[in-house]
Amino acid sequence: MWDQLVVGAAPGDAITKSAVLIREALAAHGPSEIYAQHLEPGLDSHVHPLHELPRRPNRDRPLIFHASIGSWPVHRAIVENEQRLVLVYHNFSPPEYYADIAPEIAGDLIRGRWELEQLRDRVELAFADSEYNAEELRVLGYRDVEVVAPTPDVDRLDRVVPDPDMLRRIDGWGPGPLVLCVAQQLPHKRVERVIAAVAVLQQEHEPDARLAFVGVDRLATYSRALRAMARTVGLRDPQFLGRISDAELSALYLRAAVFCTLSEHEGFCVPIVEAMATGVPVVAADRAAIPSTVGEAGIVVDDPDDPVLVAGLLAKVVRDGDLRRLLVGRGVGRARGMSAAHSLPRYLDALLRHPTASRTVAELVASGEPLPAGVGR
Amino acid sequence: MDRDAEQQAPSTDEIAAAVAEVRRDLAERRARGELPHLPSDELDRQFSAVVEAVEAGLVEEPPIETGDLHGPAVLETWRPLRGRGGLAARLIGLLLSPLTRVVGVVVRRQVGEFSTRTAAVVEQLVDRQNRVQFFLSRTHLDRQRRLEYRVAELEREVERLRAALPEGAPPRTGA
Repeated sequence: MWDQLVVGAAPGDAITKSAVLIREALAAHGPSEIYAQHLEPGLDSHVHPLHELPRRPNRDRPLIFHASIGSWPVHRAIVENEQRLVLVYHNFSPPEYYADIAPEIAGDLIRGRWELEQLRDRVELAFADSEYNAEELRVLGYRDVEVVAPTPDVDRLDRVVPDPDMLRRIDGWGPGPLVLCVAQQLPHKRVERVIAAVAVLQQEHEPDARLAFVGVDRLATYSRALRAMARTVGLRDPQFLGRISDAELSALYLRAAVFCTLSEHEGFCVPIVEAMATGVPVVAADRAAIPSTVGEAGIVVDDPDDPVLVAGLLAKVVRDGDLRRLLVGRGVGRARGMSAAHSLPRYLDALLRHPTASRTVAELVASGEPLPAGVGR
Repeated sequence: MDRDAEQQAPSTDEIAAAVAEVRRDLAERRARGELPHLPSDELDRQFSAVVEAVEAGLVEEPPIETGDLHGPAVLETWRPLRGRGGLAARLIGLLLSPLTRVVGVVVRRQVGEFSTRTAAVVEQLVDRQNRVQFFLSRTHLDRQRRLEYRVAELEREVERLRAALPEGAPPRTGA
């Protein structure tokens, strides 16, 4: 039984997609299910609610816990059920971005770190999406952290036909270059930076440039502020598209001239890999784990708060054909190495070869070796 | 914020060269005064003002939608016959139906003009309300931004004056 636990599961969510891929891969090694505290509609066949999480002694293998935010019910379920654990750390966003706009989320983010400290001795194997995330785990006292990129299923965009309606809609926005930003509407994503930069791009370089923004509205105040900000800085015709299908996203990547994300904090940033995989040049902020995801295959901006600089870089990418070809070529190659086809076997290999996490309790007892801290309490 | 292009290490990488070129051009345009030197926290200042305005309910989002206010014909002044309810109900319905149709024609004729005029006035009011709300929000944001600029100027002035104080001089508290 190789079960996984996530705090929140939603269609289109990168962690949920990653968990589904891992489950499919683990199915060959035994039953595997996914459980979540918050479960959005549309995932009923993939994810079970938290209260259905099996308890020991039914559980013979460690529970794979995807940590992205603190949650008291999830923490209690892990502790009270005496779960053995494999941790996959996707990073906690900085709570300071939520202190004013959503203090309850800030509290969850702060408590999340405390919860990880409490679970440290129970974790038999810890994965981190990036070296940046691994360092955060080491600060919390974790040792022997395996750095494995998440399993972005970027190939899925090749398996769908770009949505014709979305293509027509994009054509209706005009002939100018399309700047694409894909991110949940959350304060630490700093979408306002992209809005300001594209406004300058329109005013200084490319009057017909358009911004399409794909991302779920998570906080009403922030989402409304972004729209007000767009009007305030004079951004023309921004397209806030919310949650869209893979076919629609594929159409956007097909038409996009450049992908731009200026997020302040990312543990990995899957949309960057999607953009690179679909041949869209990337301009991103030099923040957190983003440089390690982009590598030498995109432009990282060390001052994303300067919209004039970012606009200049966007214009350069749009106009300079040689630079575009270079970025696209490097991006496609880099994304190929980061796709699920490469990262998923590394996950499985690390998991199935681990001396304790790969074995059932019965196997561990029979081996006569010292039991890990999480076993037999 | 204003990274000097000359401080960039020369690189043979084409991407780094392209970035350096953009930086150099930006630095030159700023030196010529064509582009402003933005304070490092300028964007934060502007966006925090927007968030405050949104939280205060000063930003119109979304504008009021009037929808379709026309159409007094949809007023339910008569009811069509229904096939259920027994013989008595159907007989009563047969008697009432012509009567309600006649009433409907009369009532619609009486209220039609009034309804159309009312809808037109409501639409004008909503349009005016939206424009006033938009004006107020923009005015508020502009005012707030000017105040933010002024505060930033004063902070820089304070820093300049503090830096100009002779070594060992007691700080001026204004008391």
